[in-house]
Amino acid sequence: MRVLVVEDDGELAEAVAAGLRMEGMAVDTALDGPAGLDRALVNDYDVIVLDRDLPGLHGDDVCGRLIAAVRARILMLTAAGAIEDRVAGLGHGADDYLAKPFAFAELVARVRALARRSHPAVPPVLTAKGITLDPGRRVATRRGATLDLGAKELAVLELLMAASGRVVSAEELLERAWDEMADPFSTAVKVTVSRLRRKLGEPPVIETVERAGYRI
Amino acid sequence: MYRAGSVRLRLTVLFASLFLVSGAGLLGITYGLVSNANNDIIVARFNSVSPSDGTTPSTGGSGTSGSAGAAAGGATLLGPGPAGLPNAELIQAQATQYASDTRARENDALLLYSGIALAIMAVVAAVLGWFTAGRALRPLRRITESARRICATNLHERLAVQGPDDDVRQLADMIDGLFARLDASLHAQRQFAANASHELRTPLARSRTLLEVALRNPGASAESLRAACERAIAAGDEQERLIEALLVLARGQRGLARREPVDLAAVTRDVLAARGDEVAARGLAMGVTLEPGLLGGDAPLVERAVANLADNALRHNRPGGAVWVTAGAEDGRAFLTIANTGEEIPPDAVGRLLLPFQRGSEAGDAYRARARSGPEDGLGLGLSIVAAIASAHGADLAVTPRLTGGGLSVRLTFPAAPAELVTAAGPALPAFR
Repeated sequence: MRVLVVEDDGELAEAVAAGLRMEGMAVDTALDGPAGLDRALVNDYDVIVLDRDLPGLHGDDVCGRLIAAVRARILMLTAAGAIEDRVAGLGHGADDYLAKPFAFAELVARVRALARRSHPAVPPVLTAKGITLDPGRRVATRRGATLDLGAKELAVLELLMAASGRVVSAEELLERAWDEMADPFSTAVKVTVSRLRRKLGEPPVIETVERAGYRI
Repeated sequence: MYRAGSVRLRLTVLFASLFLVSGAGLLGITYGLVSNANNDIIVARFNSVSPSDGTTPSTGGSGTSGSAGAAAGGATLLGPGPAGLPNAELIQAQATQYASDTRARENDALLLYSGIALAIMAVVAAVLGWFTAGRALRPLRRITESARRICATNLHERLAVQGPDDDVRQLADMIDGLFARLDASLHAQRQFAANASHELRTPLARSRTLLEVALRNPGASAESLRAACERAIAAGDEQERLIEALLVLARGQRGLARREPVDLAAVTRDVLAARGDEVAARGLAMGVTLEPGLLGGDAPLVERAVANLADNALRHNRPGGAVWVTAGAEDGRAFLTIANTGEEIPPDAVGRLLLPFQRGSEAGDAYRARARSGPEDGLGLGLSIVAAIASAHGADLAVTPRLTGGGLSVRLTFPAAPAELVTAAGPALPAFR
């Protein structure tokens, strides 16, 4: 899962990003409206955590410009917690709204809930070919046995299972499971897929489609 | 609402009483004139028919003579016939009596009927007065009703009375003006409260998230927890500074409790001296000219205002830029001018800089992350605090963008110090040269 955090308070942005990375998400940050807008249009995110009061371009305007342009769901953060502000924020096209100060656990839960709502809708617990994956608890099991998967392996597995048999290209895996710091020319995807295959065991579930990508 | 009707009642009573008085006066004069005129006529006529008993025609001065009922040769004479010529005096006396009685009865009748007419017309006048007063007062009552409704529900509405530009219209326009000011003031208060709560919650969210994330870290070490706690404390510091700044702002807005003599040049010198290191670190050139300038005010607040202006000039500058500081007195009024180079600020953005919590983000992009180099810096309150302190002292604050080299020029002009403070500070002034 890939998340963009747009927040002008640098420390808060970094703290949120660090916390979300601990949850296995790939996170990018932007410190003002125009940078956030750029980032969201260039990269493919599942969820955008957007502060309302941003320098350069107000969060409401960023939201307005994004809803038609990207598939990402938008969660708005703001320090003004009055009803009018919530209504206004949601009215601008945000999918969800959280007032500061917030409990971090709630932020994580809402971000995950939003990520599930892309087309086609993703169920909370994924199952395919005997494998069960609970992204919230970060646990994958096969035939009852828990698999010991690392963060990136879990992320790739989640993407493949959510695709429901559709072929997922290596570029897409890189885009959606790694943040922008990743080197596009590295073999990280290949290495992760092979490690994942090894851990999933027999019979093999991940199929390589020639010059297209992978599929479960 | 009969309380509103009391003016109507008073107007009616006043009107009716005035009518009564003038009516009574009118009838009284008429009565007096009529009774006097009749008497004159009767006396003259009576004398011209008096019998020839040698009586000299008397002038018509006697008021007791009767009416002209005794005509010469009239058949209604009393007493004996022509043989009784000596009855002339009797006739005269009786005629006088008759005339006098009739006269009196007529006068009484005039008085009575006048009185009745006056009473009837007084009632009519009162009724007419009641309706007229009601009509005249109706616009006022309407204004009162509307104003009451507007006050209770929605201050955005206005009375907007149409019609000629008379007293009623002027009153309504005045009330509309008051509503506008009240509305604006309430709006400003709400804005401020919303902004203040926003600004206070952000550091709170920051420290909370920092600590939560540190705790959630499965690999948390004493080091990482320590680091997170320190950053949370720093966020708490920022909140404290913000609360302090808000209190100063409130204090400035409330007005001055006391006025003591303050030398603006001395205060400025101290403020600049404390910032010498920062000036050097930022590589700025300073041009300073300080002449003594006395004002009556609150020394800590004045120092805070000067400090904020100085900090702004240093912070919103560019490396290798310049700051010019001039202090002195003009026409007995102490003034301070601080100008700095820096980013270009469009003239229409200047007004917003004076509002609390605007951080000039649209004017230029100098405020990315929250800078934390001074008391209110980065909090967006610096200039609005200066404005509040200026207004508490009755001083003028002029902020103008500089045309060449960008940046701002800020001038603070205080009113002349009251005479008693000048003498109190007198001996000290020459030392501050």
